[in-house]
Amino acid sequence: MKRALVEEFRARWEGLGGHYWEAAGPSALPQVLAAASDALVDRSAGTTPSVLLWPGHGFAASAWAPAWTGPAWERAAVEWQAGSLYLNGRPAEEGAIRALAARAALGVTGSAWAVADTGSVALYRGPGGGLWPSLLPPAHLMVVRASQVVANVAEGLGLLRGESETPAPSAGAASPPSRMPRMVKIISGPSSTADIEGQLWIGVHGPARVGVVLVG
Amino acid sequence: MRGVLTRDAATWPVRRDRALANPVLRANVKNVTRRLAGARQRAYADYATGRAMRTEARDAKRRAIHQMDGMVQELCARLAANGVSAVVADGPAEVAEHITRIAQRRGARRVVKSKSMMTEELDLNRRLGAVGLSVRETDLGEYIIQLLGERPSHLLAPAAHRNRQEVWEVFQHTADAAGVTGPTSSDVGPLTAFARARLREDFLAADLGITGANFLVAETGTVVLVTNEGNADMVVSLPPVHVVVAGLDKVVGTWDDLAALIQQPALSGVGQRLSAYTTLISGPRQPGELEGPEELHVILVDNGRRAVQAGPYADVLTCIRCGACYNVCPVYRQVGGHAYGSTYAGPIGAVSTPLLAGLTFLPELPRSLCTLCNACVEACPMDIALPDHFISLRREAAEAGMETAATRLTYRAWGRMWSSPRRYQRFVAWARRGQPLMMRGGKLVRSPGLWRGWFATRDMPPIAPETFHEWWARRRAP
Repeated sequence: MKRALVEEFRARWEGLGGHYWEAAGPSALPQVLAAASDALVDRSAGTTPSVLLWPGHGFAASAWAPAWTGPAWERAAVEWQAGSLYLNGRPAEEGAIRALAARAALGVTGSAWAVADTGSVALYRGPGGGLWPSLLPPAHLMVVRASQVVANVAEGLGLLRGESETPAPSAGAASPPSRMPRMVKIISGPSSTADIEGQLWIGVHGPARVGVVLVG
Repeated sequence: MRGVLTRDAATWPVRRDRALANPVLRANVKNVTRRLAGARQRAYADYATGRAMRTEARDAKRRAIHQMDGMVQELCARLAANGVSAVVADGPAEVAEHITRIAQRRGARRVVKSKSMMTEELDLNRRLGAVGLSVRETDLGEYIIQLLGERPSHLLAPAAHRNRQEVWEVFQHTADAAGVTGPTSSDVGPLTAFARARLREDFLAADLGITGANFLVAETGTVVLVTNEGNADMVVSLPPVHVVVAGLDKVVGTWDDLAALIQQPALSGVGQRLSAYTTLISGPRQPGELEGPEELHVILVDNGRRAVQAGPYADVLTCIRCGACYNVCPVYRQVGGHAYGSTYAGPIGAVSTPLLAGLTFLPELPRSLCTLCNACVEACPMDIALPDHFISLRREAAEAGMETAATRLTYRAWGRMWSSPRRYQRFVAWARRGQPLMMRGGKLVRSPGLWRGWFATRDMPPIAPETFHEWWARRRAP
């Protein structure tokens, strides 16, 4: 049944102009992320593209990082550890992350859930995760767990509503406190406009290229 | 209390003729409305879930409008608990003052905005400009018309009346004034890339962001924004302060109500199951977070809505601003949005403008900009009884003595003549005697009096030498 939902999600997402890959399991993820990143990033400028990695949603940046090693990439990773955020292993500052997001060629994030019926992916802003990598770079890649694909928007909103009813864990816990996130973004395809003569054009403000890596 | 709306100083005939004489406007409006109307039909046709949700969504909006005051109170309490400041403002001046105070306290000068009809209604950019704030519209269509010094002509496609050549020209001027390179051609790609680069600088430099809201959920204190471009996401997550300006009619009750409603603006507006970006905001940045505004303010605006809610036209407040009625309206498709003379155009604008601002404000809207063809009510996802409202607004205007003496007399005479069979038959007999003067090529092409205008664009067959009534009387005669 979950497979049917995943197939429906894939068809809708690709129909909206999104790119799609699958990784058989967590261990296959770096390799698939590397291939996906190569497909999404435009290297025509000739400079080394930078990637901003800010998974959130319970994913660990360190597990994905091998996808962008070597001279082909300039990599920055934001990770939540024991109550605060770290950028490349050092305490993170807002200005530094923002500047990285503004010049990154690719943003990489996790996701909270995905919707089969509409081909959408939901991202939460919370202590563990941020939305800038999904907003400022020209390309955005998301990791979606197969178990997170729900049938319709109402089901996804139900999961989101449920967040507020989980009691917050004590301070200094290994994972961020759980409550209804203060900002949630449901993404259905690339940034698009039809404001000039009704002609559809992608990448007007946000990413023109969006990809999902579904991990089994 | 009555609302305050802006209006074009030109009279209706001037606005109408200006639109009809503009070939670029007419070609573009025709193209955009046809495309959007078709997309909407296709989106619902293969989507039974969407059709079922539409009914639930309509009922949710009706409940919300019915219990507006209670919902607003619940929302304000919930927002306060989420760390959001919430106020209810009467009209434009109060909203502008409130935002000015916030900006002054924060030392903010550079404002970025995402598209909001509410702020258009309030003429907010002009008011904020007057106190020294620089306001940048960031929706591509809004950016274009801001540079042109115009107002939006369509709910979803504000620059629907302009073509790419005109956009190229104004971008070129903007580039020259700023000392940067303009777009390389008038193709949509280079034009969009130019806007992206210019607006990106504005987003990153902004001190304050202003958005409207598509929905505000009372149960959770959540602001919901629906866009395709992603500019609203920039506005709500880059500047340190975010101000939401929304009508009282945007409040809905519960999370389940939101689930029913959330797809409707995109389905009815552009024929997508969900907009590219749907953003749900339930509070400012929290401890431990490194992005998102430090302050979040919600200003709920009356501007005539409470008075409408209390009256017989309350269902106009269930409008979700999808634009479906604009796209199918034979009047809108000919003249576009500016001919309506105020913020809201199309059938919903022609009805809600006089309701918000008073029946003497642009009284021609319900009288002259509707053919009672019923296309709007068929397209409306909220089933707003627009044609009924047109008729009853016309009746109210007539009862209030707002028609000219000549119109009143002509209609009274016509009414008397056609309300008895005998008088009707006599009228036909007179008209037949006079009609040879009014004919050309075997057709009636002219008329005296009130009907003169009707014949300006039409003709009709002449009255027959013997009518059915006359034939019947002859056959039955002994």
